[in-house]
Amino acid sequence: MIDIKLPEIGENIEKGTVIKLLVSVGDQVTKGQDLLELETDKATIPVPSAYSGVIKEILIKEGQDVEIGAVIMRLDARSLESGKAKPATPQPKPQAQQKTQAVRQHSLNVGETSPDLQRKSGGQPPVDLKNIKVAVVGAGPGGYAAAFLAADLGLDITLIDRDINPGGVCLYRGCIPSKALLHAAKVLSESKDAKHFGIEFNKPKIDLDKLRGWKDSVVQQLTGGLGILAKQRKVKYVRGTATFVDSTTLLIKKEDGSSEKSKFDYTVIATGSRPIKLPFQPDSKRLLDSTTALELENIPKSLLLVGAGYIGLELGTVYAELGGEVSVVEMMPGIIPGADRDLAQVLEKRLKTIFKNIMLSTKVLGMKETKDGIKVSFEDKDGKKFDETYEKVLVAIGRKPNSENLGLDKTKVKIDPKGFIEVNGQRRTADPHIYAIGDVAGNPMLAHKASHEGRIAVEAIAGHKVAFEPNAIPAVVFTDPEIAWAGLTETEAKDQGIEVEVVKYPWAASGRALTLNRSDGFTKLLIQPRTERILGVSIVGPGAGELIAEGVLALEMGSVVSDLKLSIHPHPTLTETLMESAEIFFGQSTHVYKPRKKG
Amino acid sequence: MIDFKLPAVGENIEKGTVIKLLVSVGEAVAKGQDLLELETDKATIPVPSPNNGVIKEIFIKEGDEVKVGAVIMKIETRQHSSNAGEASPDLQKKSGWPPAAKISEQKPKIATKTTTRAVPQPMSRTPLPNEAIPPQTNVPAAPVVRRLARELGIVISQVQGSGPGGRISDDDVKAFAKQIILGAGQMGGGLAKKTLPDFTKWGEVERQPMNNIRKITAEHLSYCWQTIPHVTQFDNADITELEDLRKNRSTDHRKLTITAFLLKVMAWGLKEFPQFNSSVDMDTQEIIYKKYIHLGVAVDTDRGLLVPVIRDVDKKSIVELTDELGKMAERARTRKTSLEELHGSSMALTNLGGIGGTHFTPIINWPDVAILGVSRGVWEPVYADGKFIPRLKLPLSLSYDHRIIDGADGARFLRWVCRKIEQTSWADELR
Repeated sequence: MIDIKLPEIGENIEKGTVIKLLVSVGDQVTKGQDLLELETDKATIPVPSAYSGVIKEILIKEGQDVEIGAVIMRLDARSLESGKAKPATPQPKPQAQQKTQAVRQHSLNVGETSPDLQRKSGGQPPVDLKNIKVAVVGAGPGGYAAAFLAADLGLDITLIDRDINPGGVCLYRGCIPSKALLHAAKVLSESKDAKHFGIEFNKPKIDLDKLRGWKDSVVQQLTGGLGILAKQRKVKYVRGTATFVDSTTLLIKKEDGSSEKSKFDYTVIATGSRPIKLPFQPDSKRLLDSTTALELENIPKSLLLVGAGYIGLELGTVYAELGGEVSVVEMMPGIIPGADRDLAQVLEKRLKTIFKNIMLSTKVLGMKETKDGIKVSFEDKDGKKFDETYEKVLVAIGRKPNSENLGLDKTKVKIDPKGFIEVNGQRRTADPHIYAIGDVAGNPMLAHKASHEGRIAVEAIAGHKVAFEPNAIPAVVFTDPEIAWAGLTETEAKDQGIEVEVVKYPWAASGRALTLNRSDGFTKLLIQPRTERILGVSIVGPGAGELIAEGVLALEMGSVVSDLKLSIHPHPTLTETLMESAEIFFGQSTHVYKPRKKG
Repeated sequence: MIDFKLPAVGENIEKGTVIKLLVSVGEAVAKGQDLLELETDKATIPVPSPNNGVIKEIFIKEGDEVKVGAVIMKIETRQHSSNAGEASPDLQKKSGWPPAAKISEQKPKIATKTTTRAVPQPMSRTPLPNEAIPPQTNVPAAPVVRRLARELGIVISQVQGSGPGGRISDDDVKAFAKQIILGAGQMGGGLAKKTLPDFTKWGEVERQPMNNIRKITAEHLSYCWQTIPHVTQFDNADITELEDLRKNRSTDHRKLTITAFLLKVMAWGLKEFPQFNSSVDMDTQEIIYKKYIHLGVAVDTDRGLLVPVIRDVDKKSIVELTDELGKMAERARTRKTSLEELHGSSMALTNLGGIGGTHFTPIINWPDVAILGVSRGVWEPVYADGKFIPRLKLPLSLSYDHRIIDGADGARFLRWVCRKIEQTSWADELR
């Protein structure tokens, strides 16, 4: 007779509830056959038999809580083994003991390391998360998402930021205000475009103060809302800055000038990034960065964008639509480095109609403030040097992580040569008490990546088994047209030698695009030929930023191209372009005649 | 007892091919448990059991084409329900399981709801702590499924997805977890048994039972292979002089063999490198050093491989060893080898030189920790004193147990053996 014990079924799972018995006394079972279904914190797991034999006794019933290692059934192995020479009964028992011993040992090795780890063990026995003190430094979209989730999970949470309300660069000086202004730009652009279908407006009157006020009110409303949400969740919001005294102590310098030292079990660094300056740029009010450009002091007659990345081009679009004469200079041979060239080209074509000049493969050698503006000297790819004077210059050549001045030298946190804090899958730094998320923890510097990381870090602190492991982090350029991509790009596929089949659906074939008078976009899918799995989605065209979300879901779900093809998409919408690009893969697109070449 | 008929598995599907039987006769099945996988025009469909019970008879085999409505199995439902059912359950019960035994012997397999697909062997035998699992990006599994894997301590990229495009479902993850549960603490366990295909699909075949030696060899060598981490080291020994001597000293009455010389060198080697004359006890975490030198010699017989052992090789002369080898081989071929003779070796030697070939990778004869493989001597040009001279080189292959023998020691041992072969004054040994 063998005692069947509940085997170890997952890391740190100590007990479970029997939700279904799959055998009864007298049943013949084979090794590996499921005996019962056990419900644990997270999952329902079938528990297989380690032996073949006949069930003689069942010591548990449905609904009962059972601990790992408890004897749940007794089984007679003889009835099956009787034909064999080996003595069946005496042998398995010591084996069974050995086995459970080995398994126990393993779980001890894992569990014993620290009280912290034990506290985290899967929620059982109940841990008092209230006693875990967590600080989040920086209340951008990463920091406040982290703090809010921490509060929702019941952790003791303090959120530290210098602004009056949570929001960070994204809400105060980035994504949100720029999108408000881009909306205004879009209204201007579309009203001009309307003359193509018989609607002509007079030249618009632009009240810059009112526009700025509206933009600020959007920011106010959002950040104020976050302040209320923080209060509702009982997040301790401290206005000030924080530096590390040691791994678990922060020196908080408050807005009112006072300062205090506080102990925290864990700190999440979410201090973000700031614009990079050119080494030779003069200290002048004529020099703008992404923050000051959003202040919209005036519409300069001539504006030079240094850097054709997404930040520069978005802001450049705003200034151009508001009536400024905008030029762009970019060192690289194309705009929007990182995006596939075919996407960038569609944007470049349109930008040429609103920008005065797009100078690619051109270096900025120097800048000098004159009484009329900033005199900029350039060198083009042929080595030709020339000067040009602009009323204002917006430098948007990238951002760098805010990892300095945090007192990280007092901790075990490691920083890479680019200034990013090094983190593991849980966003934990080399210091076990410190996590880092968002821009300060590495590229891509995107708000949505930061919030996801923030939530992962807090879940990890609360003892959940999680990791930052997205299949796709979408990137969106909010120009007109918008560019968006997720997952693998064609350029990456080429560079990494990944075999893909590329299908493109031109928006000229989309009814919806034509009704918007915009047929310049396209939707592109990258497909793994062997599995027909979707590996990448890129879109260029108005609304691409909204459309990409479906691509992200497809990538996260491990969808194959047929999943997209077989999902009914609403008509007439631009989302159909995703479905039809999937149809193109099979040579069966309704609105594009493109038979499949291969059998 | 119920006759289980193939149910209608889909609209307009009238028949299908049994691609996998998931149960065998004598097995208890639960209602809803899958009994077989049926391949139809459009899809492969698992066919579930209509009742709880025990499979009494199976009328189909894998590869059969079955029509909807055909009786495919007899299932005896449980006592309480069967009372209400068929007329003579007792009679059936008494008839016992004879047809059962045969089939279940042939197809011992894991039959469960979640193992309806071939489950790959988990690489990690134990659940891993979360931080030990690196971020798993670009995995064809939904975010919740990836989280489930982390909950269970599974590296999801090791799970083979059963869905389209290799998509991993929560069932795939659970089945994988189950393999870990079954395999925990067991050497080589956790491998899902795979079913052989029906070879008759491709032509005529014949099934022959294994003889005893074959069965034992198969079991024993599988065990050796699975428990011992093998490394094989190759080297060549110059036997030009030794071979001359061997030929000269051989007579019609007594033919000296290279095996005898090698046994002698091995015996010396085991004295020099005692870790090669040991066994590993993983349960007590001890190494057992042997103070005796008994060497196994693989003998090819018409019934299969035998490894009889020559005792106290270190105390015997080349001539004595030659004589003993001859007798031993004779006993093996005439099936007179005693069971006693087959155990207690320090190390084994396997000489394939009579057949040919260069190096090979012999499997260690557990509980030994090393084996020396010998191939056929080859004339090779050796560059010496500004010219090439022909030398007879003997390819040697040493497999050793890497748990207790480090690579450097493996190489050192074999080099030592080669040098000993080359530098021993064999004429003196034969005096």
